[in-house]
Amino acid sequence: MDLQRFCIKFFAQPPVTVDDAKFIDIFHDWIRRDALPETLIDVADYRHVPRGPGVMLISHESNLSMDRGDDRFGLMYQRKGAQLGSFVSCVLATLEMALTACELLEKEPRLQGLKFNGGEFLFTVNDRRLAPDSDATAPVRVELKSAARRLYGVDCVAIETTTHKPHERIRMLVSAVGSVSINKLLENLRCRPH
Amino acid sequence: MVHVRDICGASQPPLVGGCCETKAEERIVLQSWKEMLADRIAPAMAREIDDYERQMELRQQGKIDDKVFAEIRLRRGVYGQRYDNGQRHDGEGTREIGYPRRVLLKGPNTQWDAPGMQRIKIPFGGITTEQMDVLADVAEEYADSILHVTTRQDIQLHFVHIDDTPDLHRRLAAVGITTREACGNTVRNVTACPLAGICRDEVFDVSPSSKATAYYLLGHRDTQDFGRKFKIAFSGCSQHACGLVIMHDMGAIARTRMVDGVTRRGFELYVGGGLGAIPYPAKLLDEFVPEEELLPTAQAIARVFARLGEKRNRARARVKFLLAKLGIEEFRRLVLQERKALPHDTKWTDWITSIDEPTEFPLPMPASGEPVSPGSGFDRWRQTNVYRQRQPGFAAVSVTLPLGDLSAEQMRGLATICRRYVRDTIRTTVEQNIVLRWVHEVDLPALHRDLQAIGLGEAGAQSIVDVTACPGTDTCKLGIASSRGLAAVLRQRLAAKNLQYDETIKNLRIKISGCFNSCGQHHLAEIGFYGVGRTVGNYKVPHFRLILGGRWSENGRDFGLSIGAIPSKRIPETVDRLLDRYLREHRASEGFTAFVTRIGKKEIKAMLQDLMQVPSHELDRSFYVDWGDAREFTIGDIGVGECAGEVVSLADFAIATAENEVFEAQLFLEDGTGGARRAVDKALAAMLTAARGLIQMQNPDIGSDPEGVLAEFRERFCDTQLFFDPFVGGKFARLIFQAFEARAQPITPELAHRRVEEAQLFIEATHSCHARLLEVQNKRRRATPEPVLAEAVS
Ligand code: HEM
Ligand code: SF4
Repeated sequence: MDLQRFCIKFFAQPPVTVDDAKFIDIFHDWIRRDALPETLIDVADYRHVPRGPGVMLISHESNLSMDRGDDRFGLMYQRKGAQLGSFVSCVLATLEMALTACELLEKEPRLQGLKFNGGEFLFTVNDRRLAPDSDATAPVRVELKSAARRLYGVDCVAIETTTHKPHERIRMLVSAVGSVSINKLLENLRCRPH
Repeated sequence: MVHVRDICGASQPPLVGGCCETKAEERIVLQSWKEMLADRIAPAMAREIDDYERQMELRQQGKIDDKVFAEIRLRRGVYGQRYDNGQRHDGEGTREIGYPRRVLLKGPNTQWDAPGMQRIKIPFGGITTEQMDVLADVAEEYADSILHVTTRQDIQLHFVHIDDTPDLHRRLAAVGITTREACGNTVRNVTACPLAGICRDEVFDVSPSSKATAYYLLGHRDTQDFGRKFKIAFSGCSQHACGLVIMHDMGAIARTRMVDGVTRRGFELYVGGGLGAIPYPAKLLDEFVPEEELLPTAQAIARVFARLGEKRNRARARVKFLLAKLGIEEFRRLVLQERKALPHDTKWTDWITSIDEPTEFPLPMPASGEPVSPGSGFDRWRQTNVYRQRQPGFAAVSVTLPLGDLSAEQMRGLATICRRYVRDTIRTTVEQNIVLRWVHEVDLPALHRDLQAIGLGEAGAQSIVDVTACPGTDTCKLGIASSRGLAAVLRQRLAAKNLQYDETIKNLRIKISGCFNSCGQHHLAEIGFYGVGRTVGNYKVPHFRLILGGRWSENGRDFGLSIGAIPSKRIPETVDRLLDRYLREHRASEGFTAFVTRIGKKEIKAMLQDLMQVPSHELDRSFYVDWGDAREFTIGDIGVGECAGEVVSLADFAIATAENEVFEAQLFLEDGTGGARRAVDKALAAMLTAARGLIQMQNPDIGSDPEGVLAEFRERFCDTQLFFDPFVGGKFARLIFQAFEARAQPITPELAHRRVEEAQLFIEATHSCHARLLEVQNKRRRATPEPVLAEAVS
């Protein structure tokens, strides 16, 4: 069985003043318009859960939430289903989907200029068969680095393992030097030969 | 455990603007959970899960019928969820959801790939820190990172893919949790007071007996052939609500009795209670069942239910209907007869041998070495969330979960906190919270601080702001209106007014169900609501019926009745008005329900009358959108008709009249002598009026003599199934015929109460049928364009 479940979170650039209720309208619109190339299903409202996933767009392939975990607001993209291909290509496909959603939100007039920082993202291995010890993380780091290089188009990408609590999943903060726009990242990915 | 496999070795294309070396791409291959947990799951549990996984495969190969497979998965707690038929109304129209394998079904009209709900049974609500960790893990990996505590002490995960369920079950099994018989026609979770063992008012601790019952009946051969679900609850006392014994198929209240100078433990045993569309209070089966007779008696009841309970008509398959059919005396006789015939089973009493040994231990020392000074909000939190245990120096702490939800992160954080302050003395509650028992009182400030740090330090547990709600339209297939959306709004508004600290009203309960099925237990609250739909102009409007008269006490003995339907968006104002009036006008020590009875439902209805009106769509569109939603409101797939105009038909009028009549019937219930008789007559009259209204859509000349109305109703609406509900079939239609046939029978107050409920449901069904007929008319109208005026004139 391959490692196929992971989450990617892009953080919003502070200050974030957006009212979470807006995402309910926006995500329902996305479903109506087929705004993402996924099987979009429904919107779940978890605004009542402190530091929780906020408003979530549920699709067959993913859960996409406006997440306040770690007290850092951002777009959390949880990849669910099985994907074809290597680990790197799965990560790249997932990055592309998350960034597409970020781009749509950046263009959304109801959010009054919400911007994401493309310069870093949080990568979470959403599968506890892979325990957060150094042995297990090494191959993930190698592969993730390879994916991140393709995303950023540069070699100098830092990966910091942030897992520190028991039972926590492997979490890695991936960052490039300086800030990068979401558009640029999408450009990089979309030019990627398949 | 982990290895990296080089799968192709081929060189990769150059990077976009990149500068890296090319390299082979790899797969990270992992062991399966089945292999990893092989030695940590009890063999019987492992086998069951393997069997289930195989049945999944067989279903995918078409070797098991979808209907059969549906019951198989339900018996593993794997439930359907809204939109799993592949259809969803997006606010503009019904659209197909493009699940990948559309022809593969996991039940009738239920697509395999559609996300579903996993119910996880937590017998008597008892849960350990290790289990909490795993629950958090599986919520993150297989669901949406949210855990939901239900109104029967279970935990639910939503948006789970069925393919993930075998592994999910294995991981739970590895920490001793089974999902077996969490749904389906089985013995559901056995519930018990969350304070059992530490309560100041209990007769004795019912934890061991509830646990023994849960595990004795789990998978028992005598519990496998029910026509419907069977719910059991235990309570340590009669006076409080916690156990809700009176609304269960089987309920046991702790009792002691002196026998030959020795105090014997036993149970006051009830049967045949249940909420659902029509609530039935349980009947006393036996005043005292000694504890050694508890399990054989439960087994005998199960056998009677399996043998004689309805199997074909699911709407009448609960024990309550069997009891109504047989009468309690006959039911009791059959149970005793069954009991006598049962071969002895040592398991009946095994659990009693260790009953006097303590099952829970407090930590030997407080966790906070240094005294911690109370943080902000501590006093108020202590006032509402802390219960002084019977055991001096210890407290039980309620962790407030808004709408019963907590994130996986919070669950894990809570497990860590529990390890620090209490270890494994933890219970879920039917009020959708979690209780930590055996907290050293000196630890309370530190515990509160730690709970606050993970966002769980909110006050107001089990108070008026702690609104309970069923899943409703969020995830339930039968949901009509958004119970959770409304609950979220109410709790926010009421908490902003600090009502959880107001001595007069803080203990009132608000409970909300998304439809008449009452999963949110709305009958039992002082203020209850259940969702209904209404048609205004050409649009649907979410409404809630306001239910008053219930009381959150005495194991849920008093059920409320409806005052009327109010647009969902006006419920917050409705609650404000009710509470304000109560605060202003109640007499000393007069409870809310007593106050409602004193001023009368007529008066209450009058004071809410203006709130029952719906502004037109043009004037205020917000009334036509449910809470927490952005779509135009619809009921299922019934589309919104176009431009038929503001037609008020004869049927509209008749149904409105029927509504009034049923309300009058309710008022009669409150009159002493003769009230019950009049209530029953009025309830029947209301049903006849509503039925006549429908008939008028086809035959405007229908007379009003009851026999004539019934004959036409049968011919036009029952034989044609036009009146049949899409989910429960002819259940509601039968109510009118039954009421008519029984019209001359002797009346008891209980029967009168039920008849009024039935009339209400019948009228509700009339509304739905009317809406469906209008829909068909509108569709026809759309399909046949209006002739142009010139032609029409000519
Ligand atoms: C005809 C169908 C149904 C009926 C008559 C029914 C009735 C009830 C009742 C009366 C309760 C209240 C608790 C109790 O009895 O102790 C309950 C609990 C519950 N129901 Fe339903 N229900 C139905 C279908 C559903 C569906 C489709 C869902 C949505 C998934 C649902 C979700 C729940 C939940 C979450 C609870 C709390 C429970 C637990 O842990 O067992 N119900 N149901
Ligand atoms: S009350 Fe109705 S809406 Fe709520 S969970 Fe039960 S069946 Fe669903």
